[in-house]
Amino acid sequence: MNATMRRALLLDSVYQVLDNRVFRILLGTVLLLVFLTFAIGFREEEIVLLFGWKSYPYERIIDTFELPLPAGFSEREGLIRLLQKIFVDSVAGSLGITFAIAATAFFIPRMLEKGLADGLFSKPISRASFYLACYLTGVGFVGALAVVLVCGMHVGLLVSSGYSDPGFLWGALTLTYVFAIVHAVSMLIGVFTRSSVAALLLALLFFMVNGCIHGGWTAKEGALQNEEFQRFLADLPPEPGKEREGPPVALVDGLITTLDVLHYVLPKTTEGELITELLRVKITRSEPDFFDPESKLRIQKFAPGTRADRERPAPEVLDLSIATSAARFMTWLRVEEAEDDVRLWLERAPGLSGGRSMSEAMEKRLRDKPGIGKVRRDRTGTRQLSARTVQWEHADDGEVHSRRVFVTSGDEGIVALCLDARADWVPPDADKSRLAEKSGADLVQEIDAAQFEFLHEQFETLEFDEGGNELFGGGGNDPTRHVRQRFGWTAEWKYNAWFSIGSSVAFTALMLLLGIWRMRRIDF
Amino acid sequence: MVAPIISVRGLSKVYGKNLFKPGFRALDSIDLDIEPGSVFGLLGPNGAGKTTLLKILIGLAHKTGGAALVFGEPAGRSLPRQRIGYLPEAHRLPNYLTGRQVLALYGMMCGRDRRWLSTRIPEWIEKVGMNQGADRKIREYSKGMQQRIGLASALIHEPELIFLDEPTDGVDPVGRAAIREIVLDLKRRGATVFINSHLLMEVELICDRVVIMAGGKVLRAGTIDELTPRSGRVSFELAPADERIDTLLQGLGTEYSRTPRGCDVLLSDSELDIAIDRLRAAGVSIRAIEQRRLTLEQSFIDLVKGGTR
Repeated sequence: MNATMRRALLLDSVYQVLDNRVFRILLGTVLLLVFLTFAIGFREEEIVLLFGWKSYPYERIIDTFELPLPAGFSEREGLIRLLQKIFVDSVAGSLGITFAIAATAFFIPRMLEKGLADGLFSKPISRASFYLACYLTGVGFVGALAVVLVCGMHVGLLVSSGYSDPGFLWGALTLTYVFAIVHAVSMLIGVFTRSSVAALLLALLFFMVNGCIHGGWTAKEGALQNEEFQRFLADLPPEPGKEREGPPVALVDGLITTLDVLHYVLPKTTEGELITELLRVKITRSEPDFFDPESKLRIQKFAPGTRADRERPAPEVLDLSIATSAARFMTWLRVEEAEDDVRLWLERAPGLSGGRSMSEAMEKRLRDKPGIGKVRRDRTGTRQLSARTVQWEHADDGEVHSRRVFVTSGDEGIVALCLDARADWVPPDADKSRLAEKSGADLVQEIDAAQFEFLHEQFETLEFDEGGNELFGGGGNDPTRHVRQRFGWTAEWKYNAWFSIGSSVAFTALMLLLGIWRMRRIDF
Repeated sequence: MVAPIISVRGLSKVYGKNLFKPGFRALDSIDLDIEPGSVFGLLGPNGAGKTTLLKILIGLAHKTGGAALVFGEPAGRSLPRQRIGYLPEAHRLPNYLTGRQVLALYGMMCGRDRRWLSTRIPEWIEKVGMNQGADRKIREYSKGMQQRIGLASALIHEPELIFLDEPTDGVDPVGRAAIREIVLDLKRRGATVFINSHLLMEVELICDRVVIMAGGKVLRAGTIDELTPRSGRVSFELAPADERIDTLLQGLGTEYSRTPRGCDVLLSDSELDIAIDRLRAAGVSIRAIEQRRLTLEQSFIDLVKGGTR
């Protein structure tokens, strides 16, 4: 097949797609969504429609619609992320894929229709080339729509709201990846049945059933972490005080084996999102200065003058333990130019939610303790994260210490950045000449502000990877948490991204080969 | 001797054969050699295996047994298909394209580049009389218009071997004449044309040679003259019509009948000589003598009925 023939196949595909009504509807919907991102501006405190025509405060919108904003973000950022997730994952990822299947399911049956097939396959182009051209056309055009959707929304948000999250652009890859798998199945059904309706319905059925199987497998992996479930599978008696009801062990065992086999064999469409996130991180980010895999808390680069101090042992008493005994130490951060003993560290409290309630509890405990003065509780944040702050002073061996805790909350956990320094400690970046002009109460106030600013800068370096703010601790009821936490490039094979991609690509290739095999055997 | 453009040996095709069914034998050990440069009529009743034979030669169907070579290569390979043009019976063109786009894309699919096609496409649109509708979508075409563009799309890349399956199906008389002219033009160009048609008059008008098939077998192959022998019936035209003719030809031949200008009679060659002598000796003026041949239709029916009996 020479270049002219390839160009002919491409042109044929372009004409075919441009003539397709479902594609036009899809394109129209995509452009409408993109237009909305231009028309709606996300300001600091409110949403503005059509460049100032109307405005609505975030709080009102969130309360009215009871929006489940992702935790760990400011209201503005949380709302934008929620909308992006709704449009890309739900609207495009489910409805969009369904429409895309509907728009492409007829490709092969129509090509194989009597009369049309005779003319096409009498040309000096192999049937395999026609088949692959059909496949690539579908994938190419859905990919193009996904790029228009994601890039358009990104540009829209940038222009109207000044918001840019390049990681969002990878959503186009997820959509195309998932569609590429389902399209191969739809084409195989099309070549066997030679019916558009059968190809459409069976491909949709496959898409849904496949999703359910992987969802079931993911839930099963989460359930296997439960000790009582493990005892049940091992046919051990339940722990004292616990009752057990349910189907026979052999049935559950059989179900698990079936789920395992199906999960490993079938393409993992539900893992597309996780793979995209991994790719995004791998390609767009260098090795972070700090990363906590459990909470997915990331410090890509420490604030100037700070570095990790891995040698230092965990503090005996954690600040979060004022409110909970579940706090866990994460890491020390050394302030390099500090002459005095300035302690800066990160803590994580799993299974807890609500920065506000936590800070209130801390304040209450502190006020009841002797030797504690000037407890202040406030709210602050960065572009990325909102935070509660608790500040107080306490005397230690005659020295007055400033204690500051920045708390940011996830859905089910809390991360705190804690500072313990002498009350008169001046941060390295503070304006020394300005401090020199002050004295007495003014100086104390100025140092206090400088210390707060210093901690705020540290806090600005914190960010969560996708899903990270949902992943604190081992509690909660999300059945996908276990798999999501472990999924990665170097994870054990069943949670391994390479295995997921490899098995999905192998399945897709098998579908294509079967389709080509069938196509070559047809007598027209 | 010129190498055959198509060579078929023991070619068989059985449809729907499996462990439980013997299947339907569409072609039964066919042998056929086709030399280049002629127009062939492929005739046969419905189910004779004509279309199956074409499809195997083009690669649209797979043979069950035997061998089929096209341009010396096994039938169905991509390379020989570049030199083949095919207009299928009841063909359909992609309805999302215009007639002009069909010609461009089909030409490109046969390896012709756009520059080469840019001069050929207007010529072909003109030839098939589609100047008015070339830029309309196929879905807006009538059956005849589709047939015209279909014919042009089968020929746009200037193939050497052309298979036309019912090429005049749905075309008006003027269009048929144009198609006949195109086929004769192809013949003048030296192309080999296979025409599969039920319109025997048309085949008789265009074709040099005819292959008659029935029941999956080739019953007869030959020139039109070979397939339409003289019937023995002789028609006399006299000037003026002479009433004595009945008496003069008495005792000669059989199936005698009077016509307004003379008579028709079934005569042997020697009887014809005697008849002419008698008429001339009686002073009868003979304007014309026509020895009637069997029509292709009569030959075809006789052959098929005989072949299937």
